Amino acid sequence: MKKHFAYYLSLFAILGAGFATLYFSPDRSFQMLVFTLTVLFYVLWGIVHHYLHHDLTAKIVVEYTLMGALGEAIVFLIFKGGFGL
Amino acid sequence: MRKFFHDLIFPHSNNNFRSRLLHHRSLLFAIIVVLFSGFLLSGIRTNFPKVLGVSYDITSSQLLYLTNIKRQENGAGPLGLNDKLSIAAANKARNMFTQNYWAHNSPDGKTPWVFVKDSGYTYVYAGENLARGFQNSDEVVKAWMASPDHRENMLSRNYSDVGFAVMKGKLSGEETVLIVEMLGSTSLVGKGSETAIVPPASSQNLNLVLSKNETNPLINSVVLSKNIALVIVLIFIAVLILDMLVIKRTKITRFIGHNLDHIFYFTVILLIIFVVARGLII
Repeated sequence: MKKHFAYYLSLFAILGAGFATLYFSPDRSFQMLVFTLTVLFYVLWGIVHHYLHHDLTAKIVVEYTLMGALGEAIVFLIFKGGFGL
Repeated sequence: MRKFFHDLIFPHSNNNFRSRLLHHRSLLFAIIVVLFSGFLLSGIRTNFPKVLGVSYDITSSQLLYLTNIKRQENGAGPLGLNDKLSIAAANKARNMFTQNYWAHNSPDGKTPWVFVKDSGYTYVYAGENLARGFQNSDEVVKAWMASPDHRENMLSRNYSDVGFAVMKGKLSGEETVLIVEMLGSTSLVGKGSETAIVPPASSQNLNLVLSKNETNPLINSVVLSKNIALVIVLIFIAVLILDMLVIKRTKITRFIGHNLDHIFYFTVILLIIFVVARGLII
């Protein structure tokens, strides 16, 4: 964890900025856009993180992409099923 | 069955030392199921609105009572329910749905004061609080009280009258419940109402708020989808933690993504679920 401190700091910055922007947005479309961008940055962050640590494989790229897509699907469930958007 | 769940949750030799739920195929399956659930809930909402939809228990009398309690706690006199302000609030809510906006001023520049004047209320002071997407009156008043500007409006001694409108409709494609609170006074010094603060009987006015053909659906779609989303996220966080702890103990090297990254990511999604499912105020 110690050697990854700077990376995790950047992860907190990405996730924190996404959450804060979403928190103060009163518009659903903007909320969805902000969330999608946060997910994209998370996937990119994961890929870059592993690339810089020389352990990036295709499997890892797929894993971060799938985790990102799952998060997106979960929020979509609320927007589509809950709000009917 | 036990073996299946063990394989799904715990990393061991049979699942290549990775909880089966975190395998790519399982993740893909979960994505498809969640997406399908979203479309399914949306379909049920559209075809069976009496079963699934937006339900609420918000009435003018509850809002008035809770507002006056807050005013009393803060040393301000109680407000009286004013019919003209209630008409102004209802017209504002209707205008928001018709012109599809979520703001104090309409897209064609109509301010809240236009609605107050049009209702025949000659104001010296006037104020407006808006809310949407709440399930009960208590949540609405709490949200307004938590916001400095709305709180100031609610507790201002400049006002002596209040009118409320609670209206269900579609705003930017989202089925929602709008709550408009119009505050005002007809004299320079708001004296407060002389009426006593009487607690409303539970849901007594609900039928006055809902139109004749409109009834609350059996299941609230926002609560249901929020709860499903919460369960899914919590399951993934728990499995990621378990997978990480078991592997750390056995000291097996794996070339996969970091579980800790995903745990942070899902924790933020957990918080986001609460944020998007809450009501909004302006």
